[in-house]
Amino acid sequence: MQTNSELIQLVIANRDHKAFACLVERYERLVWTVVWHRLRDYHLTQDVTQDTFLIAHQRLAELQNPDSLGFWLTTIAGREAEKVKKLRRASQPFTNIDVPSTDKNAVSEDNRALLEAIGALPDHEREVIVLRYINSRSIAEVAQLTGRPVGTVTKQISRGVNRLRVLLEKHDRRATIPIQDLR
Amino acid sequence: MSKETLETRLEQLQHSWPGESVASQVVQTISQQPPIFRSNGRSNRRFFPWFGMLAASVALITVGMWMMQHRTLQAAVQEGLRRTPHWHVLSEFFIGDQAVTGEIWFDRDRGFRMESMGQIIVDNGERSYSWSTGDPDATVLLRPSMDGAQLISNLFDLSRIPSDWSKHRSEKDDCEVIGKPCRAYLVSGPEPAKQFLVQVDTEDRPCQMILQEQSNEKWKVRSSLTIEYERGASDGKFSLDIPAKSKIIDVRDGLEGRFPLDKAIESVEKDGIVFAVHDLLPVDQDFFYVVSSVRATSKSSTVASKRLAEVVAQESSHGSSGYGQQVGMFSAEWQGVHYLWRLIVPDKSLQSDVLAKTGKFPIQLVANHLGPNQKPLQTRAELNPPLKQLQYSTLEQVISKARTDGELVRGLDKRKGPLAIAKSMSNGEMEFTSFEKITNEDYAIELLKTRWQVRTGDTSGFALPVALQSPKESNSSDGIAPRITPNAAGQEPAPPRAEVVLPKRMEGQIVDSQGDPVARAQVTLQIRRFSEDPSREPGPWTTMSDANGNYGFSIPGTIRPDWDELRIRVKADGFTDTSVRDYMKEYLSGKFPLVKLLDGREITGRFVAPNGSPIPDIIVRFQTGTQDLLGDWDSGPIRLNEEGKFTVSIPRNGKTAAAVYSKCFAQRFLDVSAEADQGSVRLAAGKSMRGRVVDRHGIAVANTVVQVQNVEMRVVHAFALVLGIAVRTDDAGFFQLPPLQGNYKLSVSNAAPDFSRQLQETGKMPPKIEERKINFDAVNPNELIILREQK
Repeated sequence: MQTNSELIQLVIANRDHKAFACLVERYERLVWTVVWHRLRDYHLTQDVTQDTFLIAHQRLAELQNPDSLGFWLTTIAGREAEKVKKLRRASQPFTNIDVPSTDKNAVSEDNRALLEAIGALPDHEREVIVLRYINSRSIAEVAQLTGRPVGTVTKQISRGVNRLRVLLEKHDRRATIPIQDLR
Repeated sequence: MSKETLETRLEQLQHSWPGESVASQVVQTISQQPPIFRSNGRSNRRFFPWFGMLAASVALITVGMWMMQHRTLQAAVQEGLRRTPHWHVLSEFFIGDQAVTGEIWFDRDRGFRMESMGQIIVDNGERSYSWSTGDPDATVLLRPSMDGAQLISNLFDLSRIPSDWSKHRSEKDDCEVIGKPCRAYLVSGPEPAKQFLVQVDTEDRPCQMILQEQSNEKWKVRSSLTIEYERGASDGKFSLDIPAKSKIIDVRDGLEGRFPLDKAIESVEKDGIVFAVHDLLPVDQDFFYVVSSVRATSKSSTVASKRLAEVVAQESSHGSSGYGQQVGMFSAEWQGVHYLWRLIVPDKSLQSDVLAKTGKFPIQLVANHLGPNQKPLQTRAELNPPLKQLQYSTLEQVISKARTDGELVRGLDKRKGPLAIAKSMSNGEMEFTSFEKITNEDYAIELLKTRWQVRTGDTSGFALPVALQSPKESNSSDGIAPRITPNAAGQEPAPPRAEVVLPKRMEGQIVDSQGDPVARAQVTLQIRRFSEDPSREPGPWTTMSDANGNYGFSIPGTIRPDWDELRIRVKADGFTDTSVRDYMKEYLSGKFPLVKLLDGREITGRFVAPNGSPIPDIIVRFQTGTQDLLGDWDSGPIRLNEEGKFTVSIPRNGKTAAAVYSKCFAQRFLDVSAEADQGSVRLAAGKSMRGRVVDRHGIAVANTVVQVQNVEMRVVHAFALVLGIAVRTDDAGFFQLPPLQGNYKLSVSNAAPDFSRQLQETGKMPPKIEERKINFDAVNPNELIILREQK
């Protein structure tokens, strides 16, 4: 596995698009989770995810610590998502017949709850959980990508998993309450 | 929840990750980002073909054989340009009395920039970018540069220069051109009505060429080309200042680059024709987006006794594709290969029998071509690309793909004209809306509405078959839908409509979803004839099914398959009501009239005002969608009684939603709950507003149609419910809206569907008026909405 530092070097020095594609593939699910947590709209999430990496590509040379790439992308993604959210609020005020967006078609109910829980995790825990479970990285790889000691990663994953369990149990309890109709 | 359970769920999420990878899109975008123009010190004499077109527009029509010191004028210009590291050209020609100017700046190390007729071209010697000015969303076309020598050849095309023109020194016309003293020569031919004035500078370089035409014994300038040698330009002239929100379309590899044959999902060769499917995407688990191509093989060219002509077209139309309905989006021909973009809506037999059992999607392709002896031939092939590993897309996504491809096609061939949404209007005419003017979401709504009608046969007075195509090609022979129907003025005589004589007795059976007979079902048959007054339509006839589910009608008369719909309404306890199903297709294919009923459940409810009082005059339309598409159902518009109560039998399975339209209260969606009694559904009072349509001078636009459509829609698997109305302006341009709530967009046109009344409102064609969005929750109802013509 090439490190973030190596890939970033290739992107900056050689304009290597394949290297950047590797970085995108490595972190796009993390970014997607962050954006989805804020927008809960499939299409907007896809768009903002893409925009996040385009912005990152333009400003990649500004990144000082390659190990912070995940955190840096998360910050950009969060900021971009908030911008879109503000615009959306401004153009579509809430009404009592608010229509759910079409992301229902793309995200199943089970996944939706899980994504919401992952999105609610602290940034450092979210990054390791996504890399470990969604990107199927080993603990050692997660440690290498985040620049954190293996022991720290293990603890963060353990805490993240516990937090997810609590969040999902809360969600499941809520789901048993009948949802009121729009009457 | 145990840790193991959570990990299993995480693993499931990993495998069914909802997001699509953006890696390829990101890489594509960054690879198209403009390069930084840097001087690399090497000679750069590559030009852009349009530069040649511009300059040739002057030169081709003007230049005669110009012998100057035993050289042609072309050679003189070439030499002058090549000796000079940078130059500037100013061109001018007249269309009528209107002058059209253009400018070109050239720098040997930086490339060139051309500005003319609202178009900008920037060429860095390797790539050329071109776009239209004044549009922040303009599409930027990326093309290869052109070789300079070829440009010069185009610029002064000797093959088109009359050989009998001659030159004369004309000292009286000597003048300064851009501050440099020049010698004048007149070039003229035997025809005295034209002459060509050439100014040559002290270094024998032609620096100005003016074409003059004689009119009323006076010489009038028709075009001119002025070359300013050794004039540099600022860096800004060579910077790539593309519009902020533009999208770059790479047209360098043409359609073959976009859809290479060796990367086709599936291809087959038959009778010298290669059929290929390049793109196949299931859309919203409902229909399929297909891009296909047909081409003649080189083998057929040599083996056939006479050369097989290139493929003329693929066939497509609104109508059956063998396994369902299809909508042709647009087509393109590139280097002898014919491409076609379309949406296929599979019928239920394909869904349940073929797709489920084989895991393959059968696609029929038809190539129209010329065979030996130039006889027109039609060759058919069926391809069966596998569905495995195909990712589901949304309609907006495939429309976005189609839009990008459409822009590529336009970039390859400007003659294609703007892509457009074509709507057939109630008077038989077509209305085109430029593709650039409609959003993906709006187009998706149009398509969903089309499909809705295809599936239910309920046009209810507003037929909106939609297709993407070039308006200029709309009546071409390539069969791309929709066909232009003759208008009322009748430039083309309407073809005679075929009539089918109905049998005196029609018998059929009512069965449930398992195929078992349904007894005591009330069956109503009606022939819907949209061209006539509804009161003159044949029927309805009503009967009951017997113990074996059989029923029969004795009905004399004829039907016209092209115009009529054969509707059967069935009501039976425990089953859904079938209300708007058109059985014409089944009847014509001999399957009529077996009616399958879905297991139903009865729901009741009533609509009430905010104060709880009943609301009369409500129209409600229920629609149900299921994940497997086998239970799609549409109630059709139902008019409720004076108490606003409804009782309707809806499918037991699936999600059901309804659009509720009222004259006195705000229209709304209703999500049907699992309970039998939906209770009292309150309609909000909403805000009723008045508006006016005026032209740019403030003069009223009378009898035009204002469409007011909710910006949101309720998607239930295959269906999309839409809230919207259409009103016509009065003689003073005023219009009155019913109470509304939420966000609506207002647009003005000559026709629009009114969903609340289930009809198409038509009126006069208005001037171009910008669409406007209004949040009716935040407006002052006493204000007047002004819809004004764009300046």
